[in-house]
Amino acid sequence: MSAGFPSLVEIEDLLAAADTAATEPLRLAVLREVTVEPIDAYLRYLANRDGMNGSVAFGGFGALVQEAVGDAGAALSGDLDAVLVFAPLIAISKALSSNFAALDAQGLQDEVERLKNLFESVAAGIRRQSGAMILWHGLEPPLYPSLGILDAQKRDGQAATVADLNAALRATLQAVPGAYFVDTAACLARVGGSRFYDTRYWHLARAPYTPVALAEIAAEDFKFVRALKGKAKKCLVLDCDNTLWGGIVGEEGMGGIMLGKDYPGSAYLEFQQEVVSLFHRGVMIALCSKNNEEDVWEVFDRHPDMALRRTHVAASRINWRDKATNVRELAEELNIGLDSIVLADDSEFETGLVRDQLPEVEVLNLPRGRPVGYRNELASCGFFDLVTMTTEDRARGAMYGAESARRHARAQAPDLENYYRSLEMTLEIGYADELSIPRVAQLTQKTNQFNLTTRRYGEGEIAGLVRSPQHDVLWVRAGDKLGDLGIVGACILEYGNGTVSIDTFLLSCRALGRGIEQAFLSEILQISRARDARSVQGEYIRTAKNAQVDRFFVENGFSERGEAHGPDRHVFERRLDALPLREHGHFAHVASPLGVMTARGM
Amino acid sequence: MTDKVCRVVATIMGVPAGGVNEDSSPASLPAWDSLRHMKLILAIEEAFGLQLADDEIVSMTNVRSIVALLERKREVRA
Repeated sequence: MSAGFPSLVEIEDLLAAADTAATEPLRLAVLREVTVEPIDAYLRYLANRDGMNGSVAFGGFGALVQEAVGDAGAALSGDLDAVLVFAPLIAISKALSSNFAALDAQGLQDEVERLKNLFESVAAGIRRQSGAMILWHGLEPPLYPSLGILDAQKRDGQAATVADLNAALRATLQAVPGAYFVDTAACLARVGGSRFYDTRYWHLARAPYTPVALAEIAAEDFKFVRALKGKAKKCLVLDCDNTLWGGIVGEEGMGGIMLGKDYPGSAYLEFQQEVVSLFHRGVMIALCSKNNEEDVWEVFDRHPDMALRRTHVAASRINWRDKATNVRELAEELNIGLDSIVLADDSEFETGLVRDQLPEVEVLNLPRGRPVGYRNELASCGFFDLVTMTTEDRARGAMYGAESARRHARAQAPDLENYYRSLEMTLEIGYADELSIPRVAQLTQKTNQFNLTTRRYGEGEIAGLVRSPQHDVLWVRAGDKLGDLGIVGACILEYGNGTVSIDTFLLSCRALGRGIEQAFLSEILQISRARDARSVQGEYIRTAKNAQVDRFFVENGFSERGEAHGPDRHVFERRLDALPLREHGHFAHVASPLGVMTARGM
Repeated sequence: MTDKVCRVVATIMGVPAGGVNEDSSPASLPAWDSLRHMKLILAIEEAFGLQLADDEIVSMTNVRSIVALLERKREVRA
């Protein structure tokens, strides 16, 4: 079976024995022009592995257009997390898949036009019926183009036409919030054509894909699902000896370790380059190794072939203590949960210890002595995949640099209030729009600790709330003289009957400890009153990770309402008639829809 | 062989292990429709480590015929 997957029978036995009653539901719908039913087992298996109870509803065979455009989609009804679309070329265009050689230029153009319209109307139709994430499986290139070797020479050959159609599909999906292109061609390339297609079942049941192919596609789909569900990892913790370079620096010295252009050092260098790519995608990089600290930093500072630099490293524990303790400390220092961490290590002893002591931590066991496999081991894991790459992600590395400058300034300042003022902090609050919707959705998906209700939203759902007259979606952006933090918080309000309910209130952990949450909340109260609300209702839903905010509403002038909501849900209220005047607090500059406030004398 | 096939059939059709015997077929098990049949064949191929031909797939109409076919293929290989 495909790498990492049990057999179909094993999956069914495993799922039958699993206790899924208490786990978070994951509801998927499949709209398709072909038979893909066996994927159901792989999707439910992956859901279970990520702590979710997966269910999969299939639309009618060959009924994609009727269900999406004709609003006849029983599979699209109800509360869905994601809609998977399978519309391979062989099912949606006989002309392009099987009769390509017979087409003239006009016929080709007409058929391409028809398919582009189909993409647009189906994507729009699904979005009209559901706010769920849309995962559309792109077209696969032909294994044997109908014009033979000539096809590759032509700008309008079959392979080129498929590439054009994929580009059009990508553009269509980009215009629909929360809709994504799944690269089926990459799945095909990884599996190989002869293992990807099942010609027997294509003819027997219009089922084109083998179990291996469906497992690979399901794994690809789950990279999106994990991102949507806030399960993407944030930090890669790396061992050093035999992970970042070959050999042991404490024994062989900096000159003796293997790292560089030649084998086997070249394999370690490629692995490092993959780590640096993750850094530029916004993943925090940390070190956890058993070494003398000065030996490691000497390699970082002086080895000419290091791709990973000291500036990429957000935190480190280089000492002789056990790695479970060290990883726990790294999580505290970086202000992230243990379940946001991946440890990459070549030692089975260390990975085994961490797996045993800290089961929340994901472990990447690098095959010791086989560094040529390291790079793909990391590149294929999919743990860090995000569906958007925001400005905040791209700049995170630099932001962490500014953070250490802030820590330094804090140590210098006589007290906290003085420190805040010395930073000249600024705050901007605004309504979510096209530009900020991806970041707001991402924050609802990623934020675990300072998150009052932990409701996860896709881009499509946030866009729906932005349009809704009963809702306000607000973001807060923070900065100071050392740098811009970007959009660090979000709030969703629901209006009705003279009251406002705070559906979502969250702040990224990077922005904690500087009074942003109070300032954001107090502007929100002012905005609510300006919209004629008489009282505000706040909600706290307890999770394993958000204990730090259980008193947030009480500390901000709310009182708990008596009625019972179960042990994990609390509702608070605050009247708005005696609200104090707006003030900028210790911020140098506060801008919101209500106007700009500036500290005196600035 | 019969026991192993019965176990695979029971798991894929979602019925108790005791509910499947040599005579079980799409006629006796309501869950055994054409889609489950496909899933069953894929599961059998995985469980027994072999690939069946298209004409063999359509000839497998009950547990007895599946067992007979698998035994025949095993003899050919041995």
